[in-house]
Amino acid sequence: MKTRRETRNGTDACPAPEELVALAVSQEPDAGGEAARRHAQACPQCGELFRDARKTVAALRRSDAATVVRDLLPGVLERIPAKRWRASPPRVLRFNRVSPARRFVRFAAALLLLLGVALAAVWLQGGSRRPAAGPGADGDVRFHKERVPPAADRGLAWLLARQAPSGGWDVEKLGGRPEYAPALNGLAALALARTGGPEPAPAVADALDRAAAFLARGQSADGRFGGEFDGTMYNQGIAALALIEACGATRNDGLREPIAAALEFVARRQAPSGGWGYHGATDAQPNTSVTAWQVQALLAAARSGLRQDQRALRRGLAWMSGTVNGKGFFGYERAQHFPDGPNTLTMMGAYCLLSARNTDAHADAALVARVERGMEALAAEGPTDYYGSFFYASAMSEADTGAFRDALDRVRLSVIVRQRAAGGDEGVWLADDRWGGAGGQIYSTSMALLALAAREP
Amino acid sequence: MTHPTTVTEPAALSDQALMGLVAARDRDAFAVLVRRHQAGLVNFFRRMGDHSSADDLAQETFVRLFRYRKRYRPRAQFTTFLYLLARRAWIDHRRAAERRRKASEGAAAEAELGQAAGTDALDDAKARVAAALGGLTGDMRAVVVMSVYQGFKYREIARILGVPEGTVKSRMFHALRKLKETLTGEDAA
Repeated sequence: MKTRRETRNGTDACPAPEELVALAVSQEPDAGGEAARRHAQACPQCGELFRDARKTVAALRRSDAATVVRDLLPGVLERIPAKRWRASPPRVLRFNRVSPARRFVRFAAALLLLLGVALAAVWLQGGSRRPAAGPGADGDVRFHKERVPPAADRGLAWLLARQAPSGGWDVEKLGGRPEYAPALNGLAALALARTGGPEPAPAVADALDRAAAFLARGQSADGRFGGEFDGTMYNQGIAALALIEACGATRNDGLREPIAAALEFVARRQAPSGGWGYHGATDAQPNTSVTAWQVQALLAAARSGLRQDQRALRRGLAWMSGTVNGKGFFGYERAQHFPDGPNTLTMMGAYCLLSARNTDAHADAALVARVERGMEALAAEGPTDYYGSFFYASAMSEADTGAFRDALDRVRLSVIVRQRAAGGDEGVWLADDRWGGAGGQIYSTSMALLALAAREP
Repeated sequence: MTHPTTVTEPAALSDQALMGLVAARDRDAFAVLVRRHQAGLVNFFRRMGDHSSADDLAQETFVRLFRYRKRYRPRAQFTTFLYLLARRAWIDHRRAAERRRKASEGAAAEAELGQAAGTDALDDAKARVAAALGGLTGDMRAVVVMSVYQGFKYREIARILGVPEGTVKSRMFHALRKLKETLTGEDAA
């Protein structure tokens, strides 16, 4: 239903306010939506309504009640009598309309698989010293290293198939917010770089090259990626990091100049205290999440020799270190500040501190040891979203000891089981977590791939 | 048309394929579904205001998923089916709490209902948003939670709530207007 109101310029009809608000909140683009969005940019009245709705939604998302979730499976299974479960594997996949020959092949494969899983379970039960909590403890779902490559391959194929000829990804079409396009394209490029490994396949190398060129083309003369808004420094840190890793993987020296400009912008926007905050203003209150991305970019540049001046990196790490409490947990804006709990914050901080160990900017050993104790305390709880999964996996992979090997397996398994592994959207991770509304499927799929790409500790 | 994938293991299957196995009482497939969707469900109930009973409600939803497994049709989105069950579990939970409150007319049951909708250990910003969401009707709140936080499309929300898509958009419009009024000068500004 449309309200045929005239705009000030008298040429265009305003959409109904309900439609406009729905569009402002929606993650689903369509042709009509695009027209209405363009209209909202031109019409002051509709523009205000659109922006108000976006602001309210942003306020809601900033204060989400989402939390870390414990494993419910044992409790659910307790409530379903054991006799209700089938003792032997099902004969066919009931809903798959497949040929009898393929059914037989599938049935045989499933039978062999279940037999293999059962044998492996018996073997592991006998020799395992795994903790009682977490996936795998009840013998239902176990992590196997061989699961990672197929899941990563499917995710990579999904990303490659959705890359536009320009080298970028249509962020809005995939459920993301357009203002975060540099960060989301950066995450996709980073996922290509890390999943593809040091010697990526030609298709991946080509896609990465084009993605990096797309990011570089969007850079402003002052080195900034994207517009000035509260997410400026997320765009900046992530896009800079992606360019640095793309430069390393593709050996494209043409990226050195945009990387240098990007890092200069990062250094210019550093707060006097050493951290980075929203809006990219030097007087903004720094926080661990925004700071971690800048530190990661500066660290990557230091490691690859792309930036010699490490003052901004040292100050950034010092600011982060100042948020660590006695238990080794990182705070959000200061020590003991945990608006969403200490889990992801601690893994973000730990990732930065641990990956700086072999640089001139390393933290002292006592602090690193305290942070590793903090990681141990939080490892069993696991991440609650893809963002957290990436930082959990990355921090654990940077640990010196093998103490986090099982925990890392659990994180990877929690990521793998959420992938859409068949059908038209095969390979995608749906944007169903707390940040999915801002990042869409580029965010969820890239973050999941990055979590899987974390190397063994 | 056949699916392009071959059967390898439950964790690699789509929700629809897993439900096919669950219909045949396959425990491994059910375990994968629970672990794939437990975080989304628990957070759905928390966002609906049920902080203390979110885990119980999510467990109840999964038990119902098993109980009603044969009613699922693979043409429908699995998440639409799951959240239809979740919403019914939430309504039943609220009605039961309300019945207990009326039956006893006592402070204890009142406290129980209050606790169910409570905001445990939330910081100021979260508490303000939680209070603002708490000022919405259940239907309005469901639309906001499913769209803003859970990422459902309007047509999926319409199916879950059993109302036309236009009604979903209308509820969203009125809900956001009310939320803006409540939050003005704070986070929405």
